[in-house]
Amino acid sequence: MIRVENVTVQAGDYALKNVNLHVPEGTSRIVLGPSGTGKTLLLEAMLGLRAVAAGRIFIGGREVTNLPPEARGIAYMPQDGALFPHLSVRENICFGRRVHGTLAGVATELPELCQALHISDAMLARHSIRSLSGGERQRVALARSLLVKPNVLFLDESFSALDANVRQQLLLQLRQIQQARRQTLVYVTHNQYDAELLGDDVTVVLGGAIAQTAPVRDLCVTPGSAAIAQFLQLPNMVALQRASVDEPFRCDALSWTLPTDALAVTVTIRREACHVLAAGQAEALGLTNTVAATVTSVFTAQRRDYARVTLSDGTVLECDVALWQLHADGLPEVGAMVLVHVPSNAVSLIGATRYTQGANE
Amino acid sequence: MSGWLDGDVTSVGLSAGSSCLHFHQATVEPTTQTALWWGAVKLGRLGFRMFLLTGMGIAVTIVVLLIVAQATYADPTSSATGPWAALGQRDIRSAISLSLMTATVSSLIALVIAIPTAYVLARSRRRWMKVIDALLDVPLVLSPVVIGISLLLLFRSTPGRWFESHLVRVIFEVPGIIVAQTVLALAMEIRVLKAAFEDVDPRLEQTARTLGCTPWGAFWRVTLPMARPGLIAALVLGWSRALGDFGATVTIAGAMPNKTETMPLAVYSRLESIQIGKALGLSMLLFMIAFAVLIAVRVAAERRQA
Repeated sequence: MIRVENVTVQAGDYALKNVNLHVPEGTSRIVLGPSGTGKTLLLEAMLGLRAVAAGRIFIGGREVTNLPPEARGIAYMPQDGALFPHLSVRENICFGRRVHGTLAGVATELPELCQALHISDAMLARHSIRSLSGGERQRVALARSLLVKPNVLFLDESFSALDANVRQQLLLQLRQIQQARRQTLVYVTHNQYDAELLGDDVTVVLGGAIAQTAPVRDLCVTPGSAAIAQFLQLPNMVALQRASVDEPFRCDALSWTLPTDALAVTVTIRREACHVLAAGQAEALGLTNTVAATVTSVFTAQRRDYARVTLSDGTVLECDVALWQLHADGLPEVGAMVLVHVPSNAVSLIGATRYTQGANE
Repeated sequence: MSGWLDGDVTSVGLSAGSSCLHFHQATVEPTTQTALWWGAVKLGRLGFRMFLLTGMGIAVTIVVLLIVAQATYADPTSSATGPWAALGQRDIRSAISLSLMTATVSSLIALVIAIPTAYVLARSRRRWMKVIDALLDVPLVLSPVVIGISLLLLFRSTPGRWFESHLVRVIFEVPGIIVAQTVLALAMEIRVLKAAFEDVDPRLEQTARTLGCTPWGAFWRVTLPMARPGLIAALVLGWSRALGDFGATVTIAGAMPNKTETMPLAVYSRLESIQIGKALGLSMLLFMIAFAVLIAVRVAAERRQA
């Protein structure tokens, strides 16, 4: 468990002010944010590598604010793994246990850990880390961090330099180990796909403050602010207005009733939940809330096909083409007129989240 | 000479509808251009290779000429001028052992002082540390004689006299040689070690700290082993500087045979008394010892690294 209470960290002219964070025992927390927003400052404060100007930090129920890193019961894996080049692979993995003087159980624990992380005996027997590939280095660094059985494992962009396949493989293995061991974990990254693979919850850091904390599965559905939605590069952000609270919100011929009394809102429309329809499909499937649109481009993202369409009022939407493909082969042609169906459950109000916003959790 | 563009424009005008001719025309001119370009590249490469080889050739030639000059003047097997003959004399043997002892002790003392100093210089980001950094370089640029005079004056001051009378006698004594050589070796070793510590990524130390190391533990288990090549280089250079010193040693300790006469002093005193043969034998011996030690240290370092 980690609790950060009203912590302020200063680095030159830049400051992270009054940060509050709570990571429950055995969960995986992703600290997500673009470069230069202070997430590494927060990490260094939790690690004990940077003094805090104000506030308190608790790890495992014990206050560690003024304790050095070695007394916090943690482990840290930096971006490139930071393996010690003068040590062999085995010496690297056992480094923490040797320092703590607890090498006794290593003979039984090491094979299990190596098996979980796919570290072969041949790799373990290497005298130098210089011949290891990027992925192998990260596995070894991960094994080194996990073998000390830390209260909390901190990772800083640890897999960002790897190619997508290896990164995904390692993140899934780490997730499996984290869940099996109920290991409390904090992973700092700018990559939201890493967050989706590894995290239970996500804390978004923007502009030197915590902008939102939410379960991973809900973050993209209910972003706390337009700034978060922009950072997450959520498609289909649309500003809506209405004359009175009794009316639904309208966008061209589409209309939705949303749970708010506001007259002007910004929403995100999940592109996988709105659909391009072929002629006659709306009637055949009984779909209402449709609008005519022109296809301006088609593309594939994360193995799904989408069409970018423009409504007659100029609104641009990205929509799934799976339903259209049931009716016709291939993809809609660019310039074709199609119908677009956007159900209410595809529309999320930005800022209307039950999760934390601002600096306090 | 036509360029790419010239060739292209000409071919378009002539070929009108003949794509084959167009292709042919467009590739003839660039081939000439490419050949010239490759010629220039090759010439550039050759020039750069010549620059490297000339520099290295001059450096090697200088050292080889120094050795050859001695070897051609003196017969290495001669009983009068050879290095083995020099070994037979008691005062020479004394100078050799004194030189080896003082150079080793002073370079080791300097290393013990240089390690923390260089580490602080490498890690500190404070502006005033740059002033200290420059200050520590002063012995590198000063003449050893000037350093010897400064040391002489220091030990002639009141605190210096107290030090000599209560702790160790320095002036005209062997400890004086060690003090002078330590000062000379120290500046050299700090410079080399600072570069070595700067090469050790501080994140490795931070990672070691988070894995349970104290600051001392991280330094001992990570920083020092990683800076080992730098440590060896610093020790070798410091030892060499100490072994070859003349000015500082003669100023503070004199050149008393069988007492404070080191090898460079012995060579000079033989030359001064027109004993050319003995001076040559001794200088060849000094060269062989220095060369053997430098080779041995390099081989040991490489073997350890492998």
